[in-house]
Amino acid sequence: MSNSKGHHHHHKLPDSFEELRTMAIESILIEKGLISAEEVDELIHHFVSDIGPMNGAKVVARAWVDPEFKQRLLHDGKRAVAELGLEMASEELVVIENTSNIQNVVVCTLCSCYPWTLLGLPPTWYKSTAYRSRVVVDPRSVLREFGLELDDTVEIRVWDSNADTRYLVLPERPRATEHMNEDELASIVTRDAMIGVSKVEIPS
Amino acid sequence: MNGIHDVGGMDGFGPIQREDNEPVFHAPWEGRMRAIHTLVRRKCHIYNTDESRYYVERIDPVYYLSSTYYQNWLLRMETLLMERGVFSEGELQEKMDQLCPSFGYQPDLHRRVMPPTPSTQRKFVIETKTDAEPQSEPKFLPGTLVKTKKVSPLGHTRLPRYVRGKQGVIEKMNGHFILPDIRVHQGIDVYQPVYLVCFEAKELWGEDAYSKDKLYIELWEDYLDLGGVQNEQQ
Repeated sequence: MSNSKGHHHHHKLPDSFEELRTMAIESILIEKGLISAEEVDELIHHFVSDIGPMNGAKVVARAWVDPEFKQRLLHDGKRAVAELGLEMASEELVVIENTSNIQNVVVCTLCSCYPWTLLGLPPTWYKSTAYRSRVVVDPRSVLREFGLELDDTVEIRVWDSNADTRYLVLPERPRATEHMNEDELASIVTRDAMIGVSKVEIPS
Repeated sequence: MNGIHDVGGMDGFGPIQREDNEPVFHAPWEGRMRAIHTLVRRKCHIYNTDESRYYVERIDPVYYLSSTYYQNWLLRMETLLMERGVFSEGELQEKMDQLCPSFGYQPDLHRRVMPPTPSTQRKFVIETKTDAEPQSEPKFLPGTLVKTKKVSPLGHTRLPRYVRGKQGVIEKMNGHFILPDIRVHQGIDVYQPVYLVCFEAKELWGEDAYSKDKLYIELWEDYLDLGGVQNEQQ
């Protein structure tokens, strides 16, 4: 992190109660020898730079171009993503495939469980009571809010991740992308499509 | 517990607010606090994930709903650290004064984690077999009709209210995992089969639901009973 140069010793006025409270907690824990500022910086760097939807997009693009990888991915997600150098923390990974008849969508109604390694930390809307409360009881209206109108013939499967498994949606590959290579495909895969609240579209 | 966190199926929270190009953290303290929380949990083992969830669940509902995600995280982290004896509120305020003598703040009366509510009738944890074999044979096979227990434990559970007392089908057994309820309230690790269970949307929400729609959720073995008509008549 660029601010590792003893940032917490600068006596800049805190912007909020939470900032001051956090500074005080960090300071006490460092004095007690429980943590170090460097460890905190490293973890922040991990959250901000190492993890993110680009990892999940790589997995999806590989599955689109390599049918054998896709089979392995659907069979044992954790082991398959490890082939791409992506290590899930302690959780299991289940990859669920969208088709023209099935739309999978992921939520954690009780807290904010989410496949961080592949998608990064969740966006605020995913953690909001608005999304968590409603997507289980009224998924079609929620998807419509995200701009996804689904036919009545489509089956919606909502996955409430409340235990030790994390879910990644494998979106449908859009039509007319045969000319695109794996990297180009990865660049069009969005976080929202891997949560299941939208489809992958070719940018116009 | 039937806590404020257990919002599945509730109405009234309004449309979903999205932010374009949202940063990972909205203020630097969020990142630092999150990293500190992870370190005290993972490296110092001062508390585990299940215990820390139980602290969020007991945040005063007024504060929980009116605060941001990370404001709630900060409150649960400091409360846990105080309850585990790492520091006291006095020490923390002294340090805040030292870092910024002029700050001064009005404490929010709702900014608190409520103690567990006592009850003369309700149990803290779902009735469970704590003496089970570590890798016990799963009780239910794929395709089995099961019914979630209709319970209202006061303690921590990962059985949300909206699936309690409902009938579903075992899709598969996902492996043996530590039962969070017992881990939080008895401090022991009981490994139990965890099943992926599929519920029809109509079973959960009634006739308005689309007949094709389904909900999948993982449930520990002791959250489930055998379902079906025969079982109902026993």
